[in-house]
Amino acid sequence: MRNGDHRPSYVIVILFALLSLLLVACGDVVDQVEATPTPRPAQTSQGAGSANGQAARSPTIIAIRPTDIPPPPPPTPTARSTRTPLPAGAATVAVPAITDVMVEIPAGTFSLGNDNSDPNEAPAQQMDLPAFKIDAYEVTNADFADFVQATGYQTYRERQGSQQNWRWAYKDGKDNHPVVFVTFDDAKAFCTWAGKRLPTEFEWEKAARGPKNFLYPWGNTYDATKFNGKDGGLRQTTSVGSYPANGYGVFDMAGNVKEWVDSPYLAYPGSSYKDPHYNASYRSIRGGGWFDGAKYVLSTNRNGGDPKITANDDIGFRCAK
Amino acid sequence: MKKKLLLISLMIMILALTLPAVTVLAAPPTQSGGQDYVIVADDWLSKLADKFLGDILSYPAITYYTNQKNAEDSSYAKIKNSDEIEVGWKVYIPSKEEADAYFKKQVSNVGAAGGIKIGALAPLSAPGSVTGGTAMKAAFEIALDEINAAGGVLGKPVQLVLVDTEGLPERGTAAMERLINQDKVVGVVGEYHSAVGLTAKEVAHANHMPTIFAETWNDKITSVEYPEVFRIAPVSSEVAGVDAHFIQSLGVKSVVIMTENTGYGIPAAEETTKRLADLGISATTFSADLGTQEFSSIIERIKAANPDLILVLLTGETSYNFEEQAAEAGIGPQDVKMICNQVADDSDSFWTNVPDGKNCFYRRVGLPRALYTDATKAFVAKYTEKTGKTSAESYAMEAYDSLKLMAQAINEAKSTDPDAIISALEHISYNGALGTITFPYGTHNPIPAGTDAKWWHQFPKPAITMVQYQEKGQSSADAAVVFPDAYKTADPILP
Repeated sequence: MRNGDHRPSYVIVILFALLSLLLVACGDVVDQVEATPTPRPAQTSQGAGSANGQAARSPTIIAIRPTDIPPPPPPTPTARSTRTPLPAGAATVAVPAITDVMVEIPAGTFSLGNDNSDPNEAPAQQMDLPAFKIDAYEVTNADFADFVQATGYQTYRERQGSQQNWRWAYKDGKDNHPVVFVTFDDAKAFCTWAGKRLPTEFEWEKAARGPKNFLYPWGNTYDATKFNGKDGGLRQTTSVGSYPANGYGVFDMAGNVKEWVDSPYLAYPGSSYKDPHYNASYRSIRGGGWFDGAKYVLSTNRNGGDPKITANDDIGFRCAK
Repeated sequence: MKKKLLLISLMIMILALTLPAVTVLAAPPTQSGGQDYVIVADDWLSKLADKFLGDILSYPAITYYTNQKNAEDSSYAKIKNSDEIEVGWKVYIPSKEEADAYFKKQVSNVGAAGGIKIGALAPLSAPGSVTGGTAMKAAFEIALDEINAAGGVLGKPVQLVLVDTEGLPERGTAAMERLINQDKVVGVVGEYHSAVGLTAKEVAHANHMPTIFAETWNDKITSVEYPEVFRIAPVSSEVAGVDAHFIQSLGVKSVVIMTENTGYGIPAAEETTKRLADLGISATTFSADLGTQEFSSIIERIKAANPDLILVLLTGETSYNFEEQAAEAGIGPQDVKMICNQVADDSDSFWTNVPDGKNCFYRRVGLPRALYTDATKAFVAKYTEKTGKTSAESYAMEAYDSLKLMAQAINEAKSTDPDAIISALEHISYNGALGTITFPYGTHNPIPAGTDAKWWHQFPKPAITMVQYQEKGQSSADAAVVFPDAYKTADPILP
């Protein structure tokens, strides 16, 4: 193939057409909409159609029972056909989503913070939160492609003309890898479109620590085999859900990608520590990424960045509601 | 709705068959070079270097390329200190190839491979003093030739690994770490800028690496009393004393000190101010970053201060910028008494950059010509032949001596063991271009009570004279020695 000649083969075109026909048969169609992201039609219970006739995706809500009862088996992503991102502005077709799986985190107190790590994590304290739901998986490239295809949305990096944007990271076979190179604003736009929101910092930590308030999603002892981080040696993102879920059934709360949360990067209540980076206009980032080690993947570890312009190769997100 | 989807599918098929480059299955854009990255709260550059380049010591390449980008696009950060980065800064992460190219440019290996490696530090690019660094490099090469011609050290040839420090403190750390951890040198010599020496000495100490600093004047280089650190350059506070007494001899009452905002400049200005105050002379200090090119606003303020004398504690080419701009503004050395920076000793470079520099005074470290030893004469002869200059600058002599001194110490130690080299240096008596170098105080002879700690591992007798260009275009070899009286060859010409 000559440089710049990326025309698909006729076989692929025919497969594409067949796929479209299949989608028609399933009744799963997507209108092209304006570039400005708007909330996706509300999703109801499993299999129910939405008001405009679209077949809604099927979010699975997993109710978490008290801690003395073993958690249910974690949800497993269904297979998604491999695809590559469409260029901006191209005609689009819908591909079934697979990661729209949410976990319900019950109301109640949990232990927030850590007195034995970085000072920005202190003081450890009990925090009471109402029930909420959080995505079991980090938002994937394929998820984000759905959003972009449906809305025409352009990320900050794309608007800046940067080649290094989410499409660049979305290479063949990376449908189920977490989307990266997205700003907080990009992440928020996605969640809004999906009828969700970004989790708060407290919600994120509660969901990460699981029903037993562990320091890591799997327990209180560092284990490099339990997540995609620096010591695992992968040195890149991997498919979401590749490592065991925590006690709530939430995946990848350590490593793979750091995650935007919707809280200003400021001191915790009761803290007198003055991190020079604290700034009410910044947003917290949690969970550590694919090149982080023990300290940075603690469920209590805190990071922060400029929400408008920070879009790196190890920052993604998940939604809550 | 179903019709609409079918229509879309058909359109895609048609587009795919007809448009040559619009792609449905487009490959990701190819990425040339590195990538942009925005700093978050828990980042530091060495962590990014580890992540993207596979080596925590590669962070200077990130600093370098980011600053290169900044020169053309202000959306990139300007990194003045690699240890001080801010959330939200956009930096450029070079590709591995770009980083390798950068380090290849920074490091030159001189001498046969496979021998004993000695590391050397010198500023070979801006904002460091390129003039100073280039002179030092030539002097290192002369010393290396002599060492290897005499059989090397411990019967093996010496390979010199010279690293460009750019005059930047963070480069001092990185360069020293590289020499120790990557190049596995047995000793380190050289450097021009105190700001670099101050950081490099910490790495030398942490790694127990014998190090001889050549032209770094800050008192703390030696006053911290690190077992590994030696110095053959003068101590800044002693130089301040010479400056103060020379200024007093001119009958001056008020001085403006134009200093650089570095680990050399600020303490040197403070020490000089104190020494002048003791002599009843007032001083006002202005500071600027190393590498500053535009001094007009500072010069206006200096004119307003109306000093009797201007003392330039900017180093390298930055001093040239100031001195010529001051002359153009009517407060140059022909208008106001001015002690220029010692880099003026490179007369070719000085007159090229400061054509209005007649009457500049400047300090010269090293033996006055009347007292040159055979070793001094031999070095100057080789140096002038190699460089085409008419004389050898003090920092060239210091660079030459630092390497020869290290080689002699290793030979006398009969080992590359750091403790053995350190012990050999403490007991050494070396005859070189600067005279006979010894280190009276160290672990072998602790500093007595009442004696300043700056004399630890310090060559106590680097001669300091004040000279003056009394003719436009004059060679430094012909510059008049005007202070102290013992070495005086002419009276100073005053505006």
